[in-house]
Amino acid sequence: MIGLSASMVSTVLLIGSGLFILLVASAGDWLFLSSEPFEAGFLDRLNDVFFAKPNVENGLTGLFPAIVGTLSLVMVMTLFVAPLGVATAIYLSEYARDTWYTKLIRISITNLAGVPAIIYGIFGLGFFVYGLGGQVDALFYADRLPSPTFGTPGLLWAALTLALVNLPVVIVAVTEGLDAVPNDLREASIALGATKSETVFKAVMPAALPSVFSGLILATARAAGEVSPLLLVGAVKFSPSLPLSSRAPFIEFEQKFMHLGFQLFDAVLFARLPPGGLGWVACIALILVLLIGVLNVTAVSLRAAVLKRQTVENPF
Amino acid sequence: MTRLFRRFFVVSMLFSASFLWAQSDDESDRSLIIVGSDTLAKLVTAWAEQFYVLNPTILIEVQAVGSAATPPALLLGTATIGTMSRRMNADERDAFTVRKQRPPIEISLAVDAVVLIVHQQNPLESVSMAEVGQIFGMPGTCGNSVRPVFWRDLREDSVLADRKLQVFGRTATSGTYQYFRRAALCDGDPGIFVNEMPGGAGIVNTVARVPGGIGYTATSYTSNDVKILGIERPDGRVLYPEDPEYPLKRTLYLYVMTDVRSERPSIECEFLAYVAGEKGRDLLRSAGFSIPQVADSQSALGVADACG
Amino acid sequence: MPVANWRHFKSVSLGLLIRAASFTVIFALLGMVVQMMVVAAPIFAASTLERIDSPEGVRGALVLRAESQDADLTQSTYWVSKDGWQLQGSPGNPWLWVHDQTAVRLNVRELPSDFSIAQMVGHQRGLAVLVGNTLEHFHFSQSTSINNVPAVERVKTVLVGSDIVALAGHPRLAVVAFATSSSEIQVVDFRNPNASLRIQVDVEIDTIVWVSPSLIRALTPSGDALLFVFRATDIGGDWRRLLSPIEYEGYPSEEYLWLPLPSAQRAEPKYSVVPLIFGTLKAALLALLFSAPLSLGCAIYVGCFMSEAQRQRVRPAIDMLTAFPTVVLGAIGLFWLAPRFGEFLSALIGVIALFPILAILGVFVVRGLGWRWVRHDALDDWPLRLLPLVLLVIAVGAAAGLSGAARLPGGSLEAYLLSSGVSISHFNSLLVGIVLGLAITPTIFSIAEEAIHAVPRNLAAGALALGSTPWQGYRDVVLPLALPGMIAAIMVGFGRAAGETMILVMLSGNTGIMDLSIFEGLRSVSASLALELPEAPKTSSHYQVLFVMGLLLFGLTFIVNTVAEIIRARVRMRVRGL
Repeated sequence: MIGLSASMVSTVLLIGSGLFILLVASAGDWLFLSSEPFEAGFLDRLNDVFFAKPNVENGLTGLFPAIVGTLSLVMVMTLFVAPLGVATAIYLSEYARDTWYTKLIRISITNLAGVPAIIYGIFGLGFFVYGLGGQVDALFYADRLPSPTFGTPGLLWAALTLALVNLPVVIVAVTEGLDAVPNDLREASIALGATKSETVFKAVMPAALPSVFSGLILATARAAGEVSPLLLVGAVKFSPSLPLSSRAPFIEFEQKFMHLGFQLFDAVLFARLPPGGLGWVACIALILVLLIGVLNVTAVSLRAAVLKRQTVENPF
Repeated sequence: MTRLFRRFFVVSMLFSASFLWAQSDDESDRSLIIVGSDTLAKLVTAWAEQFYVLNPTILIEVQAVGSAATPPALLLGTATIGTMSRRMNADERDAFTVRKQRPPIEISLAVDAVVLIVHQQNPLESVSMAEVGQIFGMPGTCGNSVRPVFWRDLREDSVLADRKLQVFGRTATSGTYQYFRRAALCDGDPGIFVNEMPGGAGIVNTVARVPGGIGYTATSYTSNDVKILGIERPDGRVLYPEDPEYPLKRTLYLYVMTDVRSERPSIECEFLAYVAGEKGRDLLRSAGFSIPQVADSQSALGVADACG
Repeated sequence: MPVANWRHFKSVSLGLLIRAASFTVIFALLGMVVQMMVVAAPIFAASTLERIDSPEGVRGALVLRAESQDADLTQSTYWVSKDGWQLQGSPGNPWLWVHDQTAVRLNVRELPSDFSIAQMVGHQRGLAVLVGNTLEHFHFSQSTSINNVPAVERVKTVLVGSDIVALAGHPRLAVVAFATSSSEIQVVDFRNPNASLRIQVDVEIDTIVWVSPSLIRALTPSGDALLFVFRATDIGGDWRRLLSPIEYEGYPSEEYLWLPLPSAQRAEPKYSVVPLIFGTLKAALLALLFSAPLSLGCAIYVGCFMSEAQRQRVRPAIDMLTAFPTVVLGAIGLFWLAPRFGEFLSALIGVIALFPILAILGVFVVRGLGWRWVRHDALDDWPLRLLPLVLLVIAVGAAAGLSGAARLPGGSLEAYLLSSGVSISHFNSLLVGIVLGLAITPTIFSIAEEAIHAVPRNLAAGALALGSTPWQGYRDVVLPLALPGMIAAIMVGFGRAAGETMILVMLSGNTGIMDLSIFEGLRSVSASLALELPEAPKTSSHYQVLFVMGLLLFGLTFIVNTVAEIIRARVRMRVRGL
C-alpha cells in the first residue's frame, strides 16, 4: 500500500514532465523543422515569436508586447498587493487576538482564495471600471467625456483586480514567514525597550523578508497565468503601443495592454492555425510555463530557506 | 525598516502626483478605439497596425469581442468606430435616437459569405437549406421535424454512417450567429446540442480535426483544411460562395459615431480615408472579403470624402 | 490612550494602519457580494405599470413603429406565415388558414370561434383571444406541419374580472394590455398571469395601442390620449422562471433551456440556469473522480512517509504542476488530447485494467531484487526508485490497451462503442474531467498533505514501537485524525473545479444539454460567464441573469470553502492537544 501511494507520486511527476516534454517537442519541432506559418529558418522563426506584426492570415502576433504588458501588469499589481498583504499578515501574526474579528478575517482570506477568478473579473468590471473609473472620469477627465479615460478596462484596473486575486497568496506566505520567526527575537526586542511597531518592523520583518518576496513572486506567477479576470478588465488582442511611455508617470495606467496568458487564449480559440501551426501555440505555452516555473522555483527556494528553522523529524 | 517604508511612501506620493499631472497633457487626446465583430477582427487589426505606422501619434485599440458590443460602446462613447457582422436592428437604432439625437453613420464595409464546412474527408458535397435547418436548429425549426443524429440520417451512403454529427457553431453574442439564425434557422433557436465556440477560426480549427464535424463560419476564416459545402437549391442547382445567388451572403458594416466637438471627427475621417484607399482595399481583399457595390453615402470612400 | 513620546505615537498609529489594512480583506469579500447583488437585483423586480403625462424620457417613446401593431381590429387577417398561410378569423366564425396562392382553406380547430377580440402577441409568435370572460393565449409553432401549416397550441387561460373593451398585444413579449368597461387599464403577462397590473382611470376608453415595447397609448372616444409606461424584465418578475422547466413559445413540451439573446430579437429569451448548474456540478464531480486518488495518494505518501528534508523537496515538485496555468492545460487538451481521445481512452483503460496484475508482478520483481532496491528505511527514495517501474506499468498497460482496442470489432474503441450505440462527442465530459482533475490535483494535494503532516509524530512513533508496520501505523493512527483534513481538501478541490473557467471554455463544447452520459458535452456557469459577459449590454436582463449566476457560483464556493475551513480549524484544535 505504501508502494501504491509512492507510485502516485511517481505518476504525478511523470505527468508533469510528460506535459513539459510535449510542449518542448511541439515548440522545438516548429522552430527547427517545419515551415509554417511564417518564414523558414530557426532564427527567423524565433524572431517571429517575439516581434512579428499581426498577421492578417492567421491573426497571430509577436509576443514581445505581451511580455512587456505582463511585466507592467505585475509591477503595478505588486505596488498594490504588497502593502495590503504584508499589513494584513502582520496584523494576523503580531497584533491579532483570538476574537471573532480575527476569525472573520481568516475565513475571509480562505474564501477569497477559493473564489473563482472570473468572479473577480466581474467585480473588477463593475466596481473598478464602471464605478471608480466612472468617478475618476467625472472628477478629473470630464473634458474628455463621453469618451472614457478611466471608465473603461485598462492596466490600472486589471492590476487592482489581480491584486485582489493574489491577496490571499501573499497573506498566507508572509504569515508563514512571520510565524517562523522565533519568539526569542520579539521578547529580546521588547526587553530592550522597543515599541510594538519597532519590534515588528525593525526586528521581525527583516527576518521574514524572504517570505515576503516569496509571496510576491508566487503572486506574480499567478498573475502571468490567470486569464479569466483579464477577459473582462483590460487585456486586448492587439495594442500597437506598449503601456509604457517616456512621459511621466511612465506607465500608461488607462491603456489596455497585451498579456501573455491572454495571447495564448486568443491563439487557441481565435487564430486560424494551419496544420503545422500548433508549434506556435506550443511556443507561447512553453514561454508561459517557463516563466511561471522559474518564478515558482525562486519563491520556493526562498520559502525553504525560511522554513528550515522549523523542522520535526519523521519517525517513519 | 522604517527607512525603506519612508522611501516607498515618498515614491508612491510622487507617483500619484505625476499621475494627476499627466492629465494636463493633451497629446494623448488623439486616440481611436475600434470595437466590434470578431469576423472583422483580423482585418481591422491589420488596418490599425498599418494606420499606426502612417500616423504614429494616434493611439489605436482594437477590441473584437462580438458585434453585440458595438451599439453599447458607441452609445457610451467607449469607442467611436464599431464593426458589426450584421445590421444594427431597430431597437439598437432607437437607443441612438433617444440618447444622442442622431443615428450612427452606417457604412457597408465588406461582403462576406457564411459557409458550411466539414472535414476534408467527408464525402458530403452539398446540403439543402432545409437540411441546414435540421442540422443546426432545434427540432421544429423552419418546419422540419426530425434532426439528423447520425451521418447516415443525412446521407445513406456516407462513409461516416454510424458516427454522430458533431455540430459546431458560434456563441450567442456573435454577429455571425445572429445572421445564421435569421437566414438559415428561420429566426428559430439553434439546438442545444451545438458546440458553441467563441471564434470563427476556432470552428475551422476544430472541424478540420474532427471527422464527423460540421459547422458554419465566415469565408474569411476558412482554409484548405476544411471542405466548403455547396447549397442545393430546390431546382437542383448547387450554389457555392462565389456564385452571386449564394443565399448566405451578408454585408459587414462599420458604424461611426463621432462627437459634435470639432477636432474629434478628423481621426475617424483619416481612418476611413485609409480604409477606402488602395492599401486598405488590398488588405480587405487579402483577408477574404469583397468590396460591396453601394451608393457613395454608404461606402467608406463616400463618407471619408464627405467629412473632408 | 495618552502617548508618551514620538516613538509611542508611531507605534500606535502604525498599529491602527495595520488594523485598517486588514479590513480590506473583509471589504473585498463583502464588496464582491454586494456589488453582484446590486447589479443582479433588478432582474427580480416585478413588472410595473404607471401613468405618465408626456412621452419624453421614455426609451423608444418617440419612435412609432407600424409593425408593433400586427393586426388592425377591423381586419380579419391576423398573420401571414413565411409560407404564405394567412390566419383569418372574425368573431363568431371558425378560424381558417388560407393560402394566398393556392387559396386552400383549412380549419383551425384549436382556436375558438366564439371569441370577441383577438390580438397578435409577441411579434407573430402568439395570439391572445378573448372568449367571454377568459383570455386565452396560443402559441404558433412549426413542429408538426402538414403542408407547412403552422401548428397552434393553447398555452394559458387567464380569467379576467370584467368586460374587456379594447385589447392590444405587446410587440415582443407575451403580454397584453386591455381596457375594461369599468375604465380600468390592465396589463397581463402570460408568463406570470397572477401578477397583473391595473390602473384605474376616470374616462371611458375606446382603443388601446402598444406604441413601443414600453409605452401604451389609450384613446378615449373624444380622441384624448392617455399614456402608460410598462416596464418588465425578461423573466416577467417571476424568479422561478430561472429554475423551473418552461414551455417556451414554439416548443411542444416543458424544457430547461439556456438560450439568452444579446439584444432585442424576435424570439423569446430563455434563461434557465438549471442546465448550467448541472454542467458545473457534472464537470466538478468528474474532476474529483480523477483527481482524488492521485492527489490523496501523493498526500499520504509525502505527508506521512517522507522525511522532512525530502518532503521539502518533493512538495514543491508536485506544486510545480501549478506552473501549468489552466490556459495551457486547456490548450493541450484541445489540440493534443481531444483529437486522440479514443486512443487515449483505450490506453487508460488498458492501464487501469492491467494494473492489479502488473502491481502484483511488480511486487515480485522488487522482492526478487531482494528488497535492496526499496527499503523501508529509505522511504524517501521510493518515488524515484519506483519511477521506472511505474513508467513500465503505464507503457505496458497503454500498449495493451491500444492493441486490445485495435482487436475490437471496428478497429478502435470508438468504432466499437459506435456499434454498441455509444458515440463519443469530440468535446465530452470525460475529457473535461481528466484535464480539470489534473488542474485541481495540486490544490487537493497541498491541503491534504498539510492535514496528514500535522498529525503529531509521537502517535505514529508509538504505534511503530508497539510493532505495527508503517502502513498499519498510517491506517489506524494517522488516517483517522487526518481524515477531516482530507475531506476538507476534497471540498476545496470541488470548489476550485466548479469555478474553473479556461478549461471549461475550451473543452466542454458549451452545449447546454443535461445528459448524464460522460461521452457528451456540458455547459458550465463559469464558461457562460466568460463567453457572454463581455458583450452583454449593461442594462439588459441577460447581464443581470449572468450576475445572478455569478452569485450562485460565489455562494457555492463560499459554502464549500467555509465548511472546509471549519473542519480544518476543528482538526487543528484537536491535534493541538495531542
